[in-house]
Amino acid sequence: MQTSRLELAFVVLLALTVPFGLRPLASQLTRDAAPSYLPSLDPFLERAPFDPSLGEQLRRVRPHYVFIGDSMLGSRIDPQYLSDRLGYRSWWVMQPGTGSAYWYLALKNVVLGSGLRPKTVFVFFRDENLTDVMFRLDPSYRWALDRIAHDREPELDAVIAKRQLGGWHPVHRAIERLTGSGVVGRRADAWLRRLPSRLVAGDDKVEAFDKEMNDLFAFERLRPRVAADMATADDDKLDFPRALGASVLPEMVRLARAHDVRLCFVRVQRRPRPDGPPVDSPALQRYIADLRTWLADNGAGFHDFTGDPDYTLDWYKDGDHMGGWTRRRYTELFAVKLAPFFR
Amino acid sequence: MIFHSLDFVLFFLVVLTAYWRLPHRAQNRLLLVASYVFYGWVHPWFLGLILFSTTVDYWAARWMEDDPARRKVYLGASLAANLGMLGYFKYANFFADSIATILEAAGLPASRVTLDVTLPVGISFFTFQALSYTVDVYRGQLRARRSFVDVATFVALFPQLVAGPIERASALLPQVEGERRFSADAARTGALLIAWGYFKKLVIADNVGLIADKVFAVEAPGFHVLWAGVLAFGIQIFADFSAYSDIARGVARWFGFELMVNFDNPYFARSPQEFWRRWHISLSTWFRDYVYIPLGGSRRGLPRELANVMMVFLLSGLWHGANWTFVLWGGYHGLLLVGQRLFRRFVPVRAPAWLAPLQIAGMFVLVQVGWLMFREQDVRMLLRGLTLTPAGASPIDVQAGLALALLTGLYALPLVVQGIWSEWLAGPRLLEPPRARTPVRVAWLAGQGLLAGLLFAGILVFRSRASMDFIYFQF
Repeated sequence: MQTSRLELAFVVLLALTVPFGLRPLASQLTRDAAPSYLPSLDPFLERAPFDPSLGEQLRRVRPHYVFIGDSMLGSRIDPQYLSDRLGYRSWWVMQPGTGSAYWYLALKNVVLGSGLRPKTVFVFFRDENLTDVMFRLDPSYRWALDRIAHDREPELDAVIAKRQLGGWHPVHRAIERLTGSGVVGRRADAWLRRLPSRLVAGDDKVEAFDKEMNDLFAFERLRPRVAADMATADDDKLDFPRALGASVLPEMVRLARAHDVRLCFVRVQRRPRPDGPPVDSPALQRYIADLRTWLADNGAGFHDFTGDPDYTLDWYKDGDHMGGWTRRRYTELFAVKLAPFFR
Repeated sequence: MIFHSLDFVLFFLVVLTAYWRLPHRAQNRLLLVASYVFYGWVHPWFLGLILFSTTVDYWAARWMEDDPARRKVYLGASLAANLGMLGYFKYANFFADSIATILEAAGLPASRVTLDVTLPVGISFFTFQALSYTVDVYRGQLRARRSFVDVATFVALFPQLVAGPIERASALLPQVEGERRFSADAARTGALLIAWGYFKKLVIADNVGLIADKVFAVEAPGFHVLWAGVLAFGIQIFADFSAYSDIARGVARWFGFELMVNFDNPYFARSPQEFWRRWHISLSTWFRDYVYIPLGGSRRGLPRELANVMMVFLLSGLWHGANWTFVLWGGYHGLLLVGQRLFRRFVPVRAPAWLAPLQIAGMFVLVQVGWLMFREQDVRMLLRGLTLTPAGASPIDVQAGLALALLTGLYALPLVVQGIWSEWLAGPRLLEPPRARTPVRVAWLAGQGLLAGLLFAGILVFRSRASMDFIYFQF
């Protein structure tokens, strides 16, 4: 007997209904979670609590110069050395594996939120990631953001919502929101990926085993071409006017101006080639030129280390990170090259 | 346009809704336009290639029939146009580079020229499909068609256009020409195929693909990590490619077409010959019918038969990609088949049934060795991989290899369950509902809806966050 159209509709409707069964599970998993501070990104966001110690640290040091950034900053600048040996009282909010969303919250909630008014705040970034609010915002990196986010972050949420307006993002988000599949997926994914490590190494040694596994696939162990590909900027993100509108950059500049704090954005040089500095694609060159003009028009400083002949390949350790042996020298040169911002 | 995008979901729903409201001729015109939109979605200039191939083959076939005395010339034109296009877009740089290497090795001056050529997706698939039409007309097995729209729809039918199955004109053209009726039965089984295909692609292939990518990105992986990566790739390529075929077959059923089965549990094969009867069936049979048999097949003595097998598999390797590692992979499988044929010739004993699990395991291992050749693009690294031994492996290499293999196994579990089910248990009977309109039938239908829903939920929960293109797009 052939399937009737009614029976077909029954099968299809049932198939479409089943995923909604995840929603109670999602609610159960997030029963004790605080309301999301980024509802446009994840309505069921589970977060780590706000950590006031970063602000307290700043208040203790009372720096005139503050550095914000990720491991690019961490492998280049030594704020203690800058304070003690060069006489520029400095501190930083440095967190590896972060992007512009973190840097924005660091400026708003940690630096300005601590009540301090440093003379200059330096923000370190690579290529286009200053205007890419989604950079390092996925769940595996988001815990760092949680530590400096308040219960509500409407401006950041609005930027993320705007960024997600294009394409099918709203549909994807709506499906995740309606079914709760995002939160169940994260839990299930984490459990599944952890299971082999637990089975092989045992529950008590799983952390050490994961670290050893990560070392096996570390950047310095990659084939040279793969490493080079990973370091190439995605040209799709290099339309500056379009990227600016869905980024936290205007809000950072507005905040700094409102609090009479000078902002200086520092583009680090990526890993040089053996025979010279890294080469920017034409799209990236246009992007950087537009960024420079926009920052100048809006009263913010900008310094680009790309192409600086002082920083050759032997300064670098892995990828775009510099070797620990260069930090003090880099810090000294930084103070010289950006002297106007230390006045 | 790619299947695993919401663009495609919307496209499918719009085209489907319009399609069943139209009379037959208009349906074909709509399918043609939709297929061209599908193909030219990202690079509209690709359409020029498919139009060129279709036009040449349409007229070549007609002139063959109108002027039989010169049919060889027209077949030659069709072959030259299709293979020439394929050769230029897919192999130009490969051949130029290989010639330069040979010249340099011989101590002669050579300048390396690299052409800025973008490989159009699916070119290997639609050119082979189009060629099946002209060759069949040449052989007198098929009549040349008068309707350009029908021929063009056959060449470009969107569900299977970019990654197969490579349909034969004799199977698909009559379906294009004949009246089609909406069948809820076909749509129901099609929906299940689509759901299973998406699950295989987004959950299994994309997740284990990340493992393979990680391993093959490392400069010097140890023995255990390397083979865990190869295993992951073996699962990825099967899940990925068979997913495309399943989605293609499922989508086609909603439009009233039946496409051929392209994969039949290949990892349960017991011998090289059986593997190729189960893996990428549409390509294997294409090479059998259009290359192996015209070369003489097994009719001209053992040496010629074995040479024909090697020729077919070297060409098949080259079809997959413009790199010597693909040729090596094809040659490897050719040698396996040659070995099997020689073994059968001199040891004409059938293996006892109890040996089957060992045969399956052995064949699985042999296929994985082939996947190392297929996945590794660098000949130096390939040689390193093939000569690695487990002796002296570090404890972390053993543990990491085991952990990666376990993770691959976890993702591949649904594939194994489905394979065992379809191979030895219920098989296709699963798709047949009880005949009478009884509560059992309702429960059975509910079970199918539930199964599709669980696949859908599984996709939402376990899908890889890094979705990749279908692997076979690059071929």
